[in-house]
Amino acid sequence: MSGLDALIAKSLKLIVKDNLGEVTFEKIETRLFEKYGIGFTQAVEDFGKLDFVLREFFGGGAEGIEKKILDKIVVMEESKDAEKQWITLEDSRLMELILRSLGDEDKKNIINTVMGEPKIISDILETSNIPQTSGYRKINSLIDDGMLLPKGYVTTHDGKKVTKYQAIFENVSISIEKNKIVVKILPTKESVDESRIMQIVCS
Amino acid sequence: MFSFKKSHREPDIVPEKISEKIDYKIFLVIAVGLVAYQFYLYSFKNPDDPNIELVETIVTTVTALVAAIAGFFIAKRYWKSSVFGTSYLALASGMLCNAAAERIYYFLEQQGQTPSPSIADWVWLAFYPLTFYHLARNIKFFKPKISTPVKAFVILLPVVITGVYAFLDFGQEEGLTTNYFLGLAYIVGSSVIMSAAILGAMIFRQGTLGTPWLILAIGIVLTTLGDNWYSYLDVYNQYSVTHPLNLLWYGGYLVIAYALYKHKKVL
Repeated sequence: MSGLDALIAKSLKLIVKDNLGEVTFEKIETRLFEKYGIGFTQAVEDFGKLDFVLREFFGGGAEGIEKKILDKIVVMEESKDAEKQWITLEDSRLMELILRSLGDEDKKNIINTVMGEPKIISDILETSNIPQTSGYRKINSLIDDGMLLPKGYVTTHDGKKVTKYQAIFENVSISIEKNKIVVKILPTKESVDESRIMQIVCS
Repeated sequence: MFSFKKSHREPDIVPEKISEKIDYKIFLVIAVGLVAYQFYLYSFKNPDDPNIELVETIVTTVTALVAAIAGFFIAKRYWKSSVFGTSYLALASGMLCNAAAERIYYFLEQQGQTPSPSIADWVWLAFYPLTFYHLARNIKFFKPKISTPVKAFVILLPVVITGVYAFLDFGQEEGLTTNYFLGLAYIVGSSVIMSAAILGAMIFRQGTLGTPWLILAIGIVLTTLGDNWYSYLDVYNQYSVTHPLNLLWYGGYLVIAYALYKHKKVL
């Protein structure tokens, strides 16, 4: 489990316990265990499962609990254009993750290559002019961190399907406001549409 | 030697999706009990028999107390939690106010004082903000954003109910009297909590918590119908202690108590 997930799990536990009581938390945890065989902390990593159980108990009310946690991590900017909504990162670990990726020259080139247009790994490496060994390692690291998302396939001449990847954002803004680093991202429409968590943030 | 007994116990199967059903037998028991009570009241030969007043006060107090005790039990279960703990404490306190108001009203009447408008009305009216707090606290936590059509429905429903009453009552009362505003306060309070209770039931309807919230909404709708019916009867001086509208209040309180029991069962 990533540091970010552990952080979200802790925050979610406190939100449920403080607002709905220890008994409610235990009920949710018991149901998660009997349904999926996982604990609360693990369920945060697999947000779909946690969302399912919360909806089993609270119906549409689950959104309120989920939104409270997510507001501590990311904040949606008000925008008239529904397809171009900037997101301000509130969580320092998430900010660090983005800054570290963009601070690495190779990773920055990889992200730039797949911003807007999905590509297969070999094309990414070729366009960004990165050696294969370190290139694969860095692409995998970006996939693990959730910076790159699979987007469609390319069929090779021998019939194999190769996954194409695209950056989750189409623009990033980094600024310093009153001695505080502010990181904003403009997520792609696809990444918002496919993410249950982003759907909740945007709602 | 060891011996093994073959267990015939079926293994527990984890349900694919948990659900909580309404036990309609409870509604039937409440309905039958109330109808029997009404026939008991009709058995009094003299409609001005002081025992009728006493019985009516006892039944109102007991039914409201049952709901209040159930509410305090739930509040204790979630003690110190900021949403469930405080909101159920408010609902229980509101039900306690109903029971207390009934006792005050009876006491003032026995003392030969005017029972209404009196302190009893203030205690009765306290039920509405307390219940509204319960509903609003939960709605705000679980559904911070409500769509515009739903918002419009929630606002329009009490506005229409209050508007109709205000118009009809204004023609009957001699100007803007205390009784006029008091009647209006009951209508505003009851229609607002009914609207909020319906919204709450809509929010939770897909989850197991939807069942207690639906029952709670039914209970509040019953008490609101009682309040509205009473206000109209009062305008035309047609209310009596043996009137069947009282059953809506008793039924409402008992249904609210059932909703609280269901909440405990679900969470």
